[in-house]
Amino acid sequence: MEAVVKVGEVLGAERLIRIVNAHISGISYRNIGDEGLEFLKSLAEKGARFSVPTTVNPAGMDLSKWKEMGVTEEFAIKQLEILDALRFMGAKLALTCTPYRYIKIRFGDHLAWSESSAVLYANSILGARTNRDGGPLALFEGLVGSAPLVGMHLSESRVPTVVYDLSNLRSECNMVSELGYFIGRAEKRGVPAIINLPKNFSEIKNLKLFLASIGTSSGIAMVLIQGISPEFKEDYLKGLDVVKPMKSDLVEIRESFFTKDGVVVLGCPHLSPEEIAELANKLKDSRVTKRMILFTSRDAAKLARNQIKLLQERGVDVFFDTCMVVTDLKNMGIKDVVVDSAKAAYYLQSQGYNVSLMSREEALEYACEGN
Amino acid sequence: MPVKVIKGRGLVNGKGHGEILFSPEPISFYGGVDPLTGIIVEKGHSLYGKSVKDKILIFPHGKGSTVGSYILLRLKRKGLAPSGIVNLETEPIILIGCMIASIPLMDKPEDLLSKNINGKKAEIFVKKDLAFLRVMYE
Repeated sequence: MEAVVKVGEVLGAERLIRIVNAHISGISYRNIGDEGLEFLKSLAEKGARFSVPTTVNPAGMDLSKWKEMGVTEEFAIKQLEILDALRFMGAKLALTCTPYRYIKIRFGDHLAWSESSAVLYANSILGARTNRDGGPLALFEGLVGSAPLVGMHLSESRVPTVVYDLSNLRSECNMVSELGYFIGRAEKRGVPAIINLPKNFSEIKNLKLFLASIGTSSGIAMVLIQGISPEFKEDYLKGLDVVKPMKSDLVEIRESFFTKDGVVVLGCPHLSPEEIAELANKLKDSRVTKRMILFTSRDAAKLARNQIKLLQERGVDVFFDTCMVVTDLKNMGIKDVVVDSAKAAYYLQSQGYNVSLMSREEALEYACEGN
Repeated sequence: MPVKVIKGRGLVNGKGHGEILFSPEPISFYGGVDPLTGIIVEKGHSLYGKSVKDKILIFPHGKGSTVGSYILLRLKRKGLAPSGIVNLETEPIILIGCMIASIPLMDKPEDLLSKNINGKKAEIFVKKDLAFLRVMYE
């Protein structure tokens, strides 16, 4: 409790607010190490228990196929210990960055979430209220059941600060990741309103990529998208600066990533059952000629069992519980990757991989080249 | 020995002493500080190559991943942590890191601190409402 109150003081919160749900990042042993593990264990031993439903981000490995991923036994044991401590405290081990797909979140709910892509989704698409809390803070908030009443918890913060008019990009829906990355990099903070959307932009898969990419290049926690965000209001746009991105802006971002050849890696954010079905449908009559790896959650897998089986028969690897950002693809002998998410592109490049960024359709075509 | 006392806002109780290590730039503990050595490894950082071990570390605020909180804990457990931290204005990464690692923390020092206090011996004291940094000028 003391930690949450103190953070509230530092952030200038007048008081705390009850939250209905928490989501914690910093789950992978690779990221939090022995000290993170010891910390979680000691909390569990001292009797700490989550007081609201709490889910967790992906771990550093697929819990059943970790050997296939080249993960060492030592790593696997430590990772399982981390998860045991979290389970002991009452967390649901969703092991996904898309918790909104598997738990019921309602308009106006106050949350304590610490995965930036999920925070952007909750605020922008669902109209729920959460700041971009850090992993340890969200953990404490989940234990206490409340969060400092600041930032995105307040209505006054949930109004647009700038307008992005996409009318120059009407046909460029194949660059949603680049667009998100561009807006984030240009704005850094605030609440951009997005108007005059390209065709198909509003498909959930595009929104997920767009929002995850904004979160990567900025501290933005919310956007207001015309026709999609429940809190979008035309009236609020009056008097704000208007930016009209050009196709060349997006091409520049795409071209800042380049690899000649690579493994196609999709699932940042985790693929939904619908996205898996769409991929399975597209690969129904072909076979991948390049290595292709998909990341999703076990909850999604339950809903798309047959499609995953079909994809595996076509030569695609599918892993659960983890993702390309929090595991080491190097353990699978991978150095070069092709991704459709600017978030994955950014983090993999900073981890030393050679990366190319393309749209999902282009990545699929690439994976099936010469078929 | 002339001594200067600089009051601030107390955030994490405790006391510690050591040489001052001053950074005009924010510090990212995750990726920016090696948890196995305590050495600042962020390329281009003005404290690149310096160890934070047993220092009174002064910097504006934290930055980067919130896993940084756990890195402070890792450093503490390995005996590589700063003996105290002073921020201009702290944020949750450093605050939570200092809380779980029991590293004394104060922010909002009443005097603007500058590079010329680098290397001076100092003592940090934080208890409830009383928080100060004592800098020893030789």
